[in-house]
Amino acid sequence: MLNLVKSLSGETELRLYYAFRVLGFVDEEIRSARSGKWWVRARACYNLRLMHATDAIEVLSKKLEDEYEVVRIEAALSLLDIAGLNALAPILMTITDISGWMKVRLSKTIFGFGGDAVPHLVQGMKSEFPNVQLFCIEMLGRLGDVRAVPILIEYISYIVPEIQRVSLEAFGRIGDARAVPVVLKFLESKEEQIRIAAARALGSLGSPATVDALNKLLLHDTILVRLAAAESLSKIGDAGIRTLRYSTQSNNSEARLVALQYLHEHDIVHEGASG
Amino acid sequence: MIEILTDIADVGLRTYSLFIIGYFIFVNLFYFTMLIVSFRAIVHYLRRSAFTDHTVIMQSEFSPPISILAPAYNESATCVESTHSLLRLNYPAVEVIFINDGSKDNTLDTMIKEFSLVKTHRVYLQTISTKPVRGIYISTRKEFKNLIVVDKENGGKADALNVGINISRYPLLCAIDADSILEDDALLKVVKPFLDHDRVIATGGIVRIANGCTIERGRVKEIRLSKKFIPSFQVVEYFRAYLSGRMGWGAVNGLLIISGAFGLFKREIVLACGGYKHDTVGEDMELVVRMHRYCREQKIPYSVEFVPDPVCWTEAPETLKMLGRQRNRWHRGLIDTLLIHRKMLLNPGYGILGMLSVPYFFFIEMLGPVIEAFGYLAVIIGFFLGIVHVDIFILFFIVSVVYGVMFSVGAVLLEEMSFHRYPRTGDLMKLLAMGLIENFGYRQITVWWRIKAFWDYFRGVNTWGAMQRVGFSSSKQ
Repeated sequence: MLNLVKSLSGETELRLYYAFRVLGFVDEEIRSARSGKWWVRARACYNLRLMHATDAIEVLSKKLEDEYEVVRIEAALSLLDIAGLNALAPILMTITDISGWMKVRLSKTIFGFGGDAVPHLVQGMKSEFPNVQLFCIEMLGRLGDVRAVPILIEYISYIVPEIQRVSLEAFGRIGDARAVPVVLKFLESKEEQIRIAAARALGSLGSPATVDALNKLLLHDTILVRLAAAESLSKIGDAGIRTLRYSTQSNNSEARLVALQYLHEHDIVHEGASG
Repeated sequence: MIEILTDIADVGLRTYSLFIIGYFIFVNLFYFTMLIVSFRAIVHYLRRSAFTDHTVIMQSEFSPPISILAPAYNESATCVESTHSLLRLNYPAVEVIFINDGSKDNTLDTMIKEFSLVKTHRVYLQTISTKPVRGIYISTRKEFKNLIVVDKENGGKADALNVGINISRYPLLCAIDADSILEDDALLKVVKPFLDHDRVIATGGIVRIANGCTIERGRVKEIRLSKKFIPSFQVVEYFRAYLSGRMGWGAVNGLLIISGAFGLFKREIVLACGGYKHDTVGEDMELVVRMHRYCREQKIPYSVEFVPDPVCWTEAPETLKMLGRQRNRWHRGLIDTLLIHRKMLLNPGYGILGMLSVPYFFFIEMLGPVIEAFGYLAVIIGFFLGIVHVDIFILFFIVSVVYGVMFSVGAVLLEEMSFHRYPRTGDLMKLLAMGLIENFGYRQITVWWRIKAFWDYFRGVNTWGAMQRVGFSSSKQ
């Protein structure tokens, strides 16, 4: 029956959910969710999802704190499936850590909600756990919804470097011009990784107004930052390409080589595309 | 005088016999424990796999990008096919870095022609010191935008891999042999531990023997056991090494070897360790031991894991001469690595590594052949001196064969119960038979090759030895 329900929709599906409940299958799975064996608990959480067991929301919520991540993931996915987006913020506020695998699994479902997930993710950013905050910011960036920009601008000024770096990447992905002045400020960060992230974000934002700032990095920063700045200049369009051509005459050998690299690769890509 | 010498030999042989019996019991208990640990680890892995849909990794933007490093030397016959095969792998974000290690044939020209490559002005950051790079090439064709070809002066496999590490942009590095074949979903599976835990610094996948299989366009189409004895013996050996060895070591975070044919590493840690050591023939094992050591010494929480089902297919030597060279090289690599890192031996500061893994590799893997050979020698001398009880010797030999067969059968059954890659009953029966036959001759030859490796190592031999490969195309049956 569980396999059958995957292929059903509409009233037939609802009737089957009802059957699961009245025949006691849901209760049985709720009991299994309390088993001492993690794989039984994980399977129960998964089955409750297939049964669309609204009665199981309480037990599934408790499983978000299970000692095994597999169980926590299955519980979170079941809650999102059963309760929809309303479950997202409570999930994010309950979990204390989020692994790469959990990000992969949750993101797939959250992408399915599209832009509607933005307010819930913003709420999730209030979690006290940095990994959860990072996930919310990454998701906001990947959803590419401009509604996330004001909250990210507010957040970026007072948080830890790793979160600043991810926020800068998110600005680049969203591509909203309001972020440009904020990102420009981070070109002067003491952290090399932050300057790299800011330079890359400017490349994605594509504003010609940032060419001078990127050129300054190209001429005066570390080699890794120069590379990021040159890459971004190559993406900004004519103004960026002109600046790169000008930098190939620079007295600074590193700046010259880096500019040459991106100009050449830009030409190869364009010739390839036109060919 | 002769009587005194006979008495001394008698006492010596009796003492050595007792030592051999003690060593034998210890080794077999150890292997048995590893078999149990591996069995539990595989069961745990299979239980977790029931909740793992690897295709989600393929579709996710959260999958960490991977740089694949493929070093090549005189591979003009296979480089195009193997590069196409790497570019076809299922993974959302990869760059393939093909490193031409100063080939004397036309490997580079073949690659330039096939992939429409042009030389770029790419800046080469020599984070790890390497032989000079002559050129970095990218393709003008959009479908090969993930391919980078590097041409460098010849410096050996480790040096070529270091160039790849310097050029790579992504946080994970996958080192492979250019002549191996990865299954399409191998990266999706081998990356999983990195997604599970931040502390994972390296993972290794299982390497299987392709001899006898049908291979078409860089993919294994039909899995069969080779009709030849030598590759078939190696299949059983690989099962023992991977499924009941590395699986168990991975479970206790004591895994010292990740095959050079297929391993995934955290770039940050590889760079911090200084990359591959280029003056050893066991560069794959040496790097893993150094990564362990670095993390222990820097007190970085870490783990090195083994994943039993992402498969890399490789061509095994089919002649005793080639196999002997390979085993000689492997053993020299083992000796070199253990001597470089001898500080870790029985050093509690290195935890399970210092107290279990390194001693195991030192006393059992490295010195085992010497002890075994002295055992054979002692028996021969004892016969001449008339102090060996034939019935006891026969009993001991039978017990040792039974144990050998038990571990081989255990490894084959582990494979059969878990992954079941050999679908034909005939092949399975043949594998079980190989587990028995290998004890009569084959095992003794491998002991000899490994002893010879000591001689070569201390004479300063540091070469790979030419390996003749039949080629995958001829593996079709």
